[in-house]
Amino acid sequence: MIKKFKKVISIIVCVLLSIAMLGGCGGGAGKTAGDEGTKASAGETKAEQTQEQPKDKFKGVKINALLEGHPTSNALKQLEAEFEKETGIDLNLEIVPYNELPQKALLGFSQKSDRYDVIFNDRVYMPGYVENDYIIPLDDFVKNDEINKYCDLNDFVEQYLNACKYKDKLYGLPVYGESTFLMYRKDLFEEYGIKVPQTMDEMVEAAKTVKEKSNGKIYGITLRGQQGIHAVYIWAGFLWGFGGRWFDENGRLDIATPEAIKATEYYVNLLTNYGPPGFSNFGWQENRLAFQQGNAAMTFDATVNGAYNEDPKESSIVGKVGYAPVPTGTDKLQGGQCSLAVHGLYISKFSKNPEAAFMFASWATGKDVQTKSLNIEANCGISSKSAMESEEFNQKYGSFKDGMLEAIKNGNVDYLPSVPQSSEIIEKVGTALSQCLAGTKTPKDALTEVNEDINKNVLKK
Amino acid sequence: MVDANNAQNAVLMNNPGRKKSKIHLYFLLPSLITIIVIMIVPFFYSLYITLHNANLLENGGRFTFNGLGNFISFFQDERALNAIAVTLKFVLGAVALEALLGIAISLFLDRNFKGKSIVRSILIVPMFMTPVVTGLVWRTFYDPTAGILNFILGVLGLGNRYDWLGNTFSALPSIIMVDVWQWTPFMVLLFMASLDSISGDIYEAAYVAGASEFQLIKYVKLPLLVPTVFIAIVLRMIDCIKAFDIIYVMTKGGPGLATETINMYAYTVGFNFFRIGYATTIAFVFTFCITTLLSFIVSKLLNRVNTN
Amino acid sequence: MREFKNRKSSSTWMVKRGLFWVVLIIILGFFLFPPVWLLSTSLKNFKDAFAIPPKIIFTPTFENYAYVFSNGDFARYILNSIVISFVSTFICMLLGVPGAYAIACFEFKRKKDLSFFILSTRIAPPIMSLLPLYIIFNKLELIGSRFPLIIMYILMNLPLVIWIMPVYFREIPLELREAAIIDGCSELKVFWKVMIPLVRSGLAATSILCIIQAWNEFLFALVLSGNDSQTLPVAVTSFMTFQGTQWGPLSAAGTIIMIPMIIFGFMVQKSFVKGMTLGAVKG
Repeated sequence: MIKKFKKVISIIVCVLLSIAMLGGCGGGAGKTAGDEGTKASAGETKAEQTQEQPKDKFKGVKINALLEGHPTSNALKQLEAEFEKETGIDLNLEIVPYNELPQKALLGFSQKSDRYDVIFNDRVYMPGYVENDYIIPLDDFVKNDEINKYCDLNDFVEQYLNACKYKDKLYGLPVYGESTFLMYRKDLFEEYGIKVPQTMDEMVEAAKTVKEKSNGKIYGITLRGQQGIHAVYIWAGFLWGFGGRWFDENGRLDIATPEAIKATEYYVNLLTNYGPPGFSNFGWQENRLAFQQGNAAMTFDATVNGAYNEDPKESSIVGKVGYAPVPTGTDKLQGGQCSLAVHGLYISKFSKNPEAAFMFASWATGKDVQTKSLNIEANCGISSKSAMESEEFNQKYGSFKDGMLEAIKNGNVDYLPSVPQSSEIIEKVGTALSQCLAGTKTPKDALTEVNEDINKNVLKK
Repeated sequence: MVDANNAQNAVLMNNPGRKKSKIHLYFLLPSLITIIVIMIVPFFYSLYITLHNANLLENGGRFTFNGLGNFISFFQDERALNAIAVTLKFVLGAVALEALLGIAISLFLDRNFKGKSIVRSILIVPMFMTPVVTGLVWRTFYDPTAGILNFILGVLGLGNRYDWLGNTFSALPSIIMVDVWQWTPFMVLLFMASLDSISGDIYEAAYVAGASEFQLIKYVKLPLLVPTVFIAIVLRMIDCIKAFDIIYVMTKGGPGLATETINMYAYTVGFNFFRIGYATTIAFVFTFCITTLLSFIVSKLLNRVNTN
Repeated sequence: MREFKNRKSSSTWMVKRGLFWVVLIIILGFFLFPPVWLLSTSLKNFKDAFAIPPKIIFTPTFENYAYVFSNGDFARYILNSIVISFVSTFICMLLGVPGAYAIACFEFKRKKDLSFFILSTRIAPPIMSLLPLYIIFNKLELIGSRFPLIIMYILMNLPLVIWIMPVYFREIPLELREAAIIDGCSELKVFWKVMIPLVRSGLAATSILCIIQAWNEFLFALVLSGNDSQTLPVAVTSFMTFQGTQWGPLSAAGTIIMIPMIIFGFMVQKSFVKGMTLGAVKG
């Protein structure tokens, strides 16, 4: 009896062990190889610090990068082999959807895991990463001649580079940037005799005219209204445009002001009266599609939309689009009304090979790679000035390049809240906006409530 | 079956030379050990976390002791209250519809016809479709401009500009519809099997008594279905309460908070606000309530079934 | 079963019968429409896919499938899903079937409480234990391998096995068990040589149910998997990119995920229903 029992147990144990090996390999292989590589490189880098041979310096070092699903990431995947040949660094690129990236990064950081060396993320998360000591400043690396061969800070668009600084230290290398501008149908404006709106009043008038003169067939304007970051991103343009702001001098949330309420009422009315149906579900893609299929006469959204408007494969309005700065609602602006969104590459504090990580980050954002990426996939949000001067860029994106550059120049780096709790603030404000758009709450009530809630429970001020 | 078990025991007892062994324990051991090891450790760790402030964006993710602070916040949290309400509406709505439709369809199919087993095979399909994929497919159906649903309604002349998932009133019903689509077959198959087991004698007797189809349903089939219906409802509720995939993929809890169930809220708090301690607390309180409720219902149920 | 044919006149009966088939077709159509739509969309190019009015006749193309497989990772995700589902189910059956046997064929104290306890492990939403699990697996350096998911799915499916398998065991006539015992077989031998072969169809049905549950699971896979160990449901969400949702490849991926499960479903529907029914009713 006991013998049989032991037999059963030993069978189970054998099965479990074999599963362990099966389960481990395929997935765990990466981890074990990484450990070996790490130990080897630690010895090597110290010994060879005096020599200037990047190729041998990091040979065999494994760098893991957590990247957003993004054209730049796709380009990097294609150019991986080149980097490995040049530096001997073994790259492992993991591409994850934008929504799921912060949780993967943060879970790892909170456990002080060295799983990822480089993170590609929105700068909205940067203050949180810095305040919690998850990422390291790059200033020293930039000055280190042994590893800065790909790094040229002057090549970056200044505003992007500044956005990657926090408390006077540089934490990230910008890999993607955008601003916002107003896009309008030149042909329709001409037909209906509308002039390009410069104020909010003019914009709503223009929308009204389009709706009337096209007998309701073409919508005046289309905007994102999807709950969450999408609505907030567009609404922030109205917030700043009407003279509002996110935080007051004491760091308290300040979006229950008359200006903010006016901005929200304007946003809600504009969409409800002149927007296409289903706007409350419009994320970036839906909004872009609505405009480029010719359903609306205006939209205000990311500068990168220009690339899609002018792409004959996707758009039915090629060549008919004009680009202008986002209108304002008042003269007393507290900050720019167009955005400055930047995504950067950051280096984890727990990385065992920060220098090799920096080499990768600087290579990935270097002018070479950025120029090449233009040919791999539509990608006009690049951050390298020289790449923007290249022929490929001007050929593809020349028609709206000026509008884009102007918007970037005036971009407001505080367009979205940049505090550690940004994510929560954006989610809660997004929910409030969704309720306003659905009509279940008035802007005044919704904003007052969410302002109080965030100050009390989130910022604790 | 109770008889059979007793009989087996009788065999064991009356068989001389057969020790009254605890052999059953050995058979149960692998499962029990697995459950205890895999479940108990995380369970107590979760409990530990609920007593702490654990925010991945504060303090470098370190835990700071908070006592019952999370629990107190939970009971003062309006959004949690709303989430509970939404969850109740969702579960009750979905399961009730599924049960009703299940009964109706199973009664409808309760006759001999060619291809009955093919029909059963077809009915299995929705249950096995990956929830994430199901959610995405229905999301395109509900699209205001390019969706099939609006197109069909337009063709039928019922207007075609409805924003199913973007409207606070229609969002939750739309999601309930998806769950109903996916799980009504579960009910149908269960009830069909139950109806199949009704012996021919009863039908003979009914026929002889001159009962109409309607009377047959009312006095024979429905009463016999009742225990199965109860159990199906309980089983379904357990899974429905945890529904996450379709909501995540279709509305993520919006518009506003109209489709934010407790599970979705816990996810948002945990992976959007990164307040893991509070998220775990939400899930914990919720699990505790449901388990208590369930044990109460199940014990009542088992009594009922046994007396039937 | 009963036949009411003789009670009605021919024409009423035919109308009724016709009506029956019409309603049946509508019902089946409703339940079959989404997967069929998914399949057809995966074979359409982008323009046809969302054309209004919907295109019923179109030239099929495999470009979506080509795109899905073009980046070599997807094949790996399929492999991951297969390995994880099958391995976890295999171990789960190994651990759970003996337990199910015990519950079916032995009488012991607190049996009902035990059954309920095991069922109740299914109640907790995954989010409750996600962080502890992540921390534990991270400390064990298992994140990124297939191990965490295999373990979690074993836990997830064990209650199913323990609730469904007893049904099949109870169907076996008492006499067979008695006879084997009288012949001097040990309990283990009875179990292994007598009972198991007799519940083969039940084993198949339960295994397939477990495989399907593991295959379709999303949240644990989302959080606990790494790039290498990603499963298909998670891979599907990767088509919802920064640039928007790529519906074409997404529908192809969705079809790929769906088809094996539907095939499995067909294979087991009879046994599966039996297990569900009797398990439910007899509790």
